[in-house]
Amino acid sequence: MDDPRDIRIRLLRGLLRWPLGLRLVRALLAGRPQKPHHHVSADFFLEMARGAYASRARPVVWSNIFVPSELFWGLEIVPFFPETWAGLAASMGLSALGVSQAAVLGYPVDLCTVHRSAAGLWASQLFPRIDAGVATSHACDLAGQMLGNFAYAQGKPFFLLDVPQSDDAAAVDYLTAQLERLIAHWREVLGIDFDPDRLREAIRLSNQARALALEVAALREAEPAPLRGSGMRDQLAMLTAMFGHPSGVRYYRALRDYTAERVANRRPEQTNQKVRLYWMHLMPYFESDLLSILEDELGGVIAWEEISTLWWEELDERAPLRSLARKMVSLFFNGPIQRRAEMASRLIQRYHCRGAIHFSHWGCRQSAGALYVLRARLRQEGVPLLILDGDCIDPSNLPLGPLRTRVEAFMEMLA
Amino acid sequence: MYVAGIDIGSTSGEALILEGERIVGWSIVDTGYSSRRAAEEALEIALKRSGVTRGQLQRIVATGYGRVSVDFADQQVTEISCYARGAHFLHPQVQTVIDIGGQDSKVVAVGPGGKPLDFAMNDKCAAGTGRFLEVIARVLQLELAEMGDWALRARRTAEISSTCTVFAESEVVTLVADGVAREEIVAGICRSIARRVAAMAARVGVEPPVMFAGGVARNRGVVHALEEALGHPLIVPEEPQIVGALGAALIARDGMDGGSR
Repeated sequence: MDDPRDIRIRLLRGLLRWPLGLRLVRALLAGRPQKPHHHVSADFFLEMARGAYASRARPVVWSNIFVPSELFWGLEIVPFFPETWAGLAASMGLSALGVSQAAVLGYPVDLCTVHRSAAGLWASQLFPRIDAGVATSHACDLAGQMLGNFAYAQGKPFFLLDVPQSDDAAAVDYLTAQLERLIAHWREVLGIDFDPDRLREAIRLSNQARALALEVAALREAEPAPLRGSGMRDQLAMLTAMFGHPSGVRYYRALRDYTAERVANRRPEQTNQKVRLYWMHLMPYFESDLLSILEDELGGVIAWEEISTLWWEELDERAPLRSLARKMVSLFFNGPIQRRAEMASRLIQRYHCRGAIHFSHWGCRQSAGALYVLRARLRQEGVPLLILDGDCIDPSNLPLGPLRTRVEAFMEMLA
Repeated sequence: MYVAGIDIGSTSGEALILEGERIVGWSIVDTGYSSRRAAEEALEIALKRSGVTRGQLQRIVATGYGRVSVDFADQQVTEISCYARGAHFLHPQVQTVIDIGGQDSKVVAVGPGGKPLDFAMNDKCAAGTGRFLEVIARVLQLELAEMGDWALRARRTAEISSTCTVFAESEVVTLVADGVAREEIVAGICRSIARRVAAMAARVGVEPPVMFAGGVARNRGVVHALEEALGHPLIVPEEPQIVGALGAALIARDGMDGGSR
């Protein structure tokens, strides 16, 4: 799959751009046995893909994952998240293509593979049209640069939201003013109308999904754990794309019902859970034995994963932009590391975890850079932390042998 | 009652036969291309030296990176647990064990009863391992076994700045061309390994007494450099390579409560 001229890549390109292609995929997926919430998410992403690839009805804005999705749905813009699509490509076994093409573009190998893969997929013409680009400055500085590159290379306007590290009122005011400018910018460059009622509706839908997601979080306190963390690796994509869209409500309702049913009726595999764990940062998006070694073979269970954490307060539909600004500054990856360490400590207690694992994704400084403080905080509380160096996109950078030894040794230590 | 521990590393494999608290025999073989074959060979030699037959073994535990290939073992346990257990058996006061093997290095914080409390490993990069010494020994045309003595003879220590084996090799070639004495270069290499391992040890937290195990612990130059880098004297067991196999045998003995083979 390395060669962008490969017949399979050509087929994929055609399938994405052919109006009936995505409907065909949707029909095929609908016939497959899947968990109910996965049906909703598959439908949602296919609909989003259709809007970006096969329809010209609405403008397409490329964005990093931390621009609030309510903004896109409230303004009737189709968002396209290159980082999410890099993860999706990895799950489809297309990482090698993206990563090798990024090398052709001249991106150095020590950059994050999510962004390198995204760049390579774009170079392979697997991404849709772009009308504008937007990114936030917080959590991941590479995202802003990568999105800026994409927009520049295609001659499209780009807007960078400068997110303060602080979460006080002045920071929220500063960011709210930028969101107002962003909307004015989009009205000008995309020719869209701004209907405040539509944005308020997106805020209402976001709050409904949030309430359901909080129910899921509460249900997951149960022992044995009703869900396995390895099945939740797509949660960052859900948290950053679905809120503000009716699918978000449907998705979290289905997930809530599924989780509640598993709390009420235990499955045989739930009886094998020996050690509850807290997982920090990302997980491999591709099929990897790492998580099955942990959860099937060794009796570990990821009771909660950091990326599933709903970090924001209920949004206020009377002040939508201010609410979204508050949501952005309160992200646990933003601001002092202690905020994230506090959250880890709180969640470890809440989910009765005996240990924590930090997956240090290749090239991602924003998470691994915090390890000293995270480790010190957990050590104070007597919670062992295992640091796994790996890659959530590129399987060739996730050697299983050494990781198996570390995971096994960690489980022996906790036993 | 006899039990066996087998430690299959990337470079060498060790087997050890234990009867109660007594080590009755052990062996060291090259791993070669087959971990399973090395395990068989090491076990046969250790049994022969012990005067014990295979049928008399009640339980076998395999460890090391090749442990998964030892399909005749009753249990596989990681080298982290085995080094902690083995070090604790030899010196019950030991709180930290450092192992530098052929192609990896590890640091384990040892708790009560020889239970691991924390660990760090380097198995991605040859720098800081025995392979690093082998490569440099070849460049300097020295026997691996004599490198430690060369290092201790040095009056000064050459600065080897690189942390990569391939680049360090180039650096050493340059130093040789510049006429820097071999003993100074060897001392520089030992210090380079020591600094790298000490940095890894600091992540775990070095609590004395510290035991130094693994094949590289035979190199007195590295022992000296590591003592300087850590600021602690090191306990080097008489046979530093068999600590992992000993730990595996002790875990096999503990497992006898769960039934014999």
